[in-house]
Amino acid sequence: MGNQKLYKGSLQTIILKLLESDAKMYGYEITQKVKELTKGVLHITEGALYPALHKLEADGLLDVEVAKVGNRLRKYYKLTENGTTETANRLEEMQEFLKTMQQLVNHKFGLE
Amino acid sequence: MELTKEQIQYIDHRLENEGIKYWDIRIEMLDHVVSVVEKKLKPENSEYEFKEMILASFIDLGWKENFNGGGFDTVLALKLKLHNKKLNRNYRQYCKETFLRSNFIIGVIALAVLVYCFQEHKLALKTLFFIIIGSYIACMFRFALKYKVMNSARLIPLVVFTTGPLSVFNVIIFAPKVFFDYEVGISVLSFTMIIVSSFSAIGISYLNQEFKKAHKIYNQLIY
Repeated sequence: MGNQKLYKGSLQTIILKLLESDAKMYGYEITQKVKELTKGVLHITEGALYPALHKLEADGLLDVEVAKVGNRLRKYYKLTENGTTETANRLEEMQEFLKTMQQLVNHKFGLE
Repeated sequence: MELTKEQIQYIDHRLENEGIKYWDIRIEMLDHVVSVVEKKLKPENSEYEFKEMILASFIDLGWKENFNGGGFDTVLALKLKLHNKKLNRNYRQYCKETFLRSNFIIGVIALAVLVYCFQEHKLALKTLFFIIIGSYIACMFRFALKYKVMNSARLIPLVVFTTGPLSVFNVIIFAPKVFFDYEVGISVLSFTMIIVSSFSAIGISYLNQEFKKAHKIYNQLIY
């Protein structure tokens, strides 16, 4: 079981990345996809997912589409033009962050 | 196991009873709960187990126990806050676009010319004023008739954009009279009327645009 707190700050980037790969996704699908990709290590709670989705929508990075599925309606999220640009920026930032963390974690401290 | 219409309606009513009064907010929560329950539910499960699954899913979505039993108060407050942020941004954008539209510019100029021409004729000015107010009331009445569609987190805040300018007009008329015993002149009133009418028109037009979109979705809601 991974440390969920470490992933918390990256939730929006994770959502943007998933939506970049798939054209449109709905909330439950996102939670399941993350579970599948991380082989159950990362579990996105609904209490965290929906506020993050709505925040991205309010910031104009996501657009919403409603479609009828069976006996109910489903809200699909997709990236806006700004969202696509922002995803690239955030992924770049994430790579930089991971690189820095790796340097820190792998650094051998000596008595020099 | 796929849920029946009745089971979906039951979940929808429970969400409504737990405080999610806006149908457009319920859509997503309902879909989530139904997806979770459909994955877990088996034909041999009892009704009690079905209800337990719903409650577990509600808790995951942020349902919390309170003095009244429980509800989604915090979740709803956050959703509304984010909704309003998006609405305000879109409204500002809509205003900018409208100000540049030729028919809007022509309309405002025509109104200004009429008001200027009628300045010396109080009766004509009053008639013009009543026509504007009458049109405004007729528009708002039309929305009020569709109260079920209007019970939406996306539409309710927009009513402020339509009623706001009129409230400003009232303040301009009555505040000087109440506080300073001073009556505002006809030229100031006429100028305010043009501004207020323009902003009310933008507000109603924006509400109408969003209402059409919401109505289209609402029509699909009927199970």
